[in-house]
Amino acid sequence: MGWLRDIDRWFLAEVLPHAVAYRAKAAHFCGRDDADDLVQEAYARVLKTPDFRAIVSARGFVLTIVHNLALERLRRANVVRIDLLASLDMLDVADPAPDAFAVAAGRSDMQRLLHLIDGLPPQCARVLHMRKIQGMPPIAIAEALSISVSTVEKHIAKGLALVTKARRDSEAQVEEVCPAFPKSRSVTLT
Amino acid sequence: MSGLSEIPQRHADLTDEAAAWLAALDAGSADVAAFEAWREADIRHAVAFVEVAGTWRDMDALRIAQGDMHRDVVAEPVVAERPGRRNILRAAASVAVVVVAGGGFAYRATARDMATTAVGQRKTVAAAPGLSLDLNTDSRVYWKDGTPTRVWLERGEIAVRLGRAHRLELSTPGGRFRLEPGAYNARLRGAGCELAVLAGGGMFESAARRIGAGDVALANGGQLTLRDVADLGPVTAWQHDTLVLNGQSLDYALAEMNRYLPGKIVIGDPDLSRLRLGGTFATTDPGEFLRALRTSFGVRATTSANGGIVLTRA
Repeated sequence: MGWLRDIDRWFLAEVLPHAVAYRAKAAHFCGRDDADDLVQEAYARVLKTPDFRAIVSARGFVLTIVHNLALERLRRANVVRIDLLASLDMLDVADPAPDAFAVAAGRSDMQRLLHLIDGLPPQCARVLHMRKIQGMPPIAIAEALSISVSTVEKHIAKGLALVTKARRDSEAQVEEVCPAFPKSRSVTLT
Repeated sequence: MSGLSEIPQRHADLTDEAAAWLAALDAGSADVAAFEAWREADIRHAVAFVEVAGTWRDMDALRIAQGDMHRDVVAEPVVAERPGRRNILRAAASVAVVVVAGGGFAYRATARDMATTAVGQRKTVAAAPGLSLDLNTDSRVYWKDGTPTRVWLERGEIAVRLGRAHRLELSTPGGRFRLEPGAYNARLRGAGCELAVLAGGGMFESAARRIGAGDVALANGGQLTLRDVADLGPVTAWQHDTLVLNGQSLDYALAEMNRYLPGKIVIGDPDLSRLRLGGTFATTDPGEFLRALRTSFGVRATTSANGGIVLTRA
């Protein structure tokens, strides 16, 4: 993948495998609805870090960012759970999620990835399979299926997007096994 | 915190955009500068792209794992020319069903499988787990899965891509190679076989010397001669349907071009043989090549009654 920068490779190797933990921490404080958004914002900060090579623990670094972003948001918000704000201030930035489930819980789970591909629309699954598992070049897939290369490209883009989103959703489900604060956002006026 | 409901939708859109870029980059149809500009334009684009790239990378890991997961499945290989055989696989174990959905591969242990191409044709075959073969024009290859997988090149030229943790035994009229994971180009020349190692390496027959990346080896009668080749680009150019010439004679150029043409080009004027040519030409259409000959050297091409093309001085 020649189109990846150094920081992207580092991100893939060090940051993304712990996505479940970031997501859990974000959901812990902001609720599930906003968790995804918060994690994305944290990723954006991480990808803007010029001296990323100096970061010893990418996981700890990102969790700190998630924590700080959550704090910022809660303080900006007009309504907030007082107990939550207190807990956020008091908790240190230690990982709230036990390592047992947080470390790449399924990021590298190949069987699940296969099932996700299998669940795609048939032609989409077929093309993605030929490209990624059989390793056929796009032009060969086009010939084998009697479709144009640009159609192959569209199927690959669609399949890749659907699988990426499905994995993100499954991270949200993993997070539910983590004992945490109640996620219902009972709002109290400050 | 109003308008939050729109944000997940926005993420989904960015994921779609990023996936479209990645697919275009993968297919070689993307404008790389435009992609860089898109990625630079918004940090969220960069995030979406790297996330999609993560999925893409993890799928690569599947390719390698699949080879091991399906080692016990007994069925016939599914190659491009026999799509109907997918049905046979449907009865296989449940893990195999995943493969079937993709028109996947599996194999039977008893017989060799074969693929051929006619003159001017090119074909890619996912022959066995971790092994992909590209056949150039007018080629024939047999293979049999096993440990190691065995491939017999009987005619023409093939490109071999061998995945991690796989081994290949390549038999040619000139001798037998044992190859490690990597990328290779094997072309028969007379009774010999020229093997170019693009990546990886291996051994030849009982020779002690290992051949490695960048080597071009000519195997003939069980003997191996190494050739010094500065640039392997011209060796693999056929995979993009091109012929790369760098000062070769017209004789050589025609011999190469004619491999792809049912109606051959011949020299009608012996003096022309001495012409030296350079450039990149499409092997799918000789018109471009002939026009270059005409404009650069004033060579005229005449189509004869039998479909062949004769070159003479204009």
